[in-house]
Amino acid sequence: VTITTSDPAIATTTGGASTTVVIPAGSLVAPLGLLTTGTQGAALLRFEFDGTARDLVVVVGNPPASQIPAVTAPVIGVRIDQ
Amino acid sequence: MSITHERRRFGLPGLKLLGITALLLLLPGSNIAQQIIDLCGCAGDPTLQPFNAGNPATYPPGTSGCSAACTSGSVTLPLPPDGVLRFSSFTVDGNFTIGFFRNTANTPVTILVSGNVLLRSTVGCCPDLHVSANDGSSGTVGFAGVGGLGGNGGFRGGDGSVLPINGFNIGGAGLGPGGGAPGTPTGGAGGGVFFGLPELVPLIGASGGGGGAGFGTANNCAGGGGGGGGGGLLIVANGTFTIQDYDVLAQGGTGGAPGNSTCSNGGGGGSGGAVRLVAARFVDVGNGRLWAQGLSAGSGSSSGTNGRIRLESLDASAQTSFSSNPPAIRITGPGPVANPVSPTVKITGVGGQATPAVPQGGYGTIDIVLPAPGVTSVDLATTGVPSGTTLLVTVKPRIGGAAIPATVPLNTCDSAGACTATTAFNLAAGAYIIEARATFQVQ
Repeated sequence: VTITTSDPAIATTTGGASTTVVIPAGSLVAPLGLLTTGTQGAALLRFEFDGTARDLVVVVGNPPASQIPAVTAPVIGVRIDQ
Repeated sequence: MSITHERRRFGLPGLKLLGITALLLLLPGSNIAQQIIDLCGCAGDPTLQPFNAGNPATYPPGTSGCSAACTSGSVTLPLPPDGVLRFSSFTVDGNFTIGFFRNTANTPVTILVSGNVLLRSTVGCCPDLHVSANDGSSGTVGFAGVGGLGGNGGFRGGDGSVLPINGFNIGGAGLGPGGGAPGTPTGGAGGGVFFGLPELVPLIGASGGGGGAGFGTANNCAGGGGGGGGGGLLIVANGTFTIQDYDVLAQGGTGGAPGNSTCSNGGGGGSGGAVRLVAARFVDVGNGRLWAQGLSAGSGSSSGTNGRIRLESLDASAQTSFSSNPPAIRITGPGPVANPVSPTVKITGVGGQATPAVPQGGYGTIDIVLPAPGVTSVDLATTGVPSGTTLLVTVKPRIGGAAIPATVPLNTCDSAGACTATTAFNLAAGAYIIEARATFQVQ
């Protein structure tokens, strides 16, 4: 499994910006260290194996607007008379 | 197929965390592209029909376009209330521009296709399929600029002000969760800011730019209107998705120019919208271009931020197909088209009056008229939102002031997960936009 980070200044695995771990034959699990640097922001960790990818978003501190899940209500227009 | 996108938040900046993450192998993953996988969830629908831009017999009722077989033209499709169109194939082959009429709720556009999608120009680069926003209009003598409408699913830009005409030297905030701040005598309007998860689930459009301020005494001191936010577009094809010499656009709108840049500022630019394309395989024949840019502002104000583009395929073609601005998120192994549970947030009443079933405030229309200023209640209802979530309610003066936020926790919930809450604002006479949103992590 190859793991890469979109921003090593925010989060990496213990192997660095790009690393590979091996899942032993017959096993479904491999241990992996996750390291955040303390810098605020978001990093996307991508796990690629056998032509398939999974993403893990790590957010440190207050997430940017582009990482915030939002469910919005329909907007209401109101007029208040004097 | 089940794909999991996990999200974790570590709350303390500056804290080093060393954790152990387990990697779970969920799929064998080999030869995945050879499998027939119903990405759109529509493969078993026997009623699906093809769409071909050159054949009006295939148009959904209400489509504007060719009246006979054709090889060029502008085709605009109607959207049903939920914004979802379903076809057995989707073919645009010639010199066609494709758009979508906004529906009453101005939802994003979702196109589910059980077969193939082809977007191809036969006249060179590049006609387009678009959910882009409208530009804000410019301020002129005696008239403030008006905010541009959002693209399908996008939010409107804020209106400008003209001090001697409407009495305000501050514009109006852009609509949407990332709506740009209004222009003031000391600072230009803000651009719309894109808001939402990288997965683009739920799919929402982008926010509008703020309206510019007219702060001089002359009638040409007229702020520009904010650009609308780009729309939201999801196309899912169970087959191949081919693009040649063709653009897919979810651009923000440009902020309108000020009437006189010495005593007014322009509208902020609208944020770029959201484009998510999902297919078994992408085929990039050349000049397949995907754009979701935030556009520029009128003089003295700020541009919108870029939106988001996401490509997901069963094979590895998402990694290399098509050019995009901003750079696309590229995923091998598509995620869910929609959340299994679709949370909702609704403003159900203002000042004791019930809101309409499909409010039109997003189009700039007044939904409710209250007889007197003062403390004004805002009633809210949610479904699928976890109890304890804090709702953010924002009142935005149409012109003349900054947005007024308030938070309210969801504590009154029934056993089915439906919750209600109420907050209140002390409001002067005038016109307002009221928005609400819930932010929470789906576990």
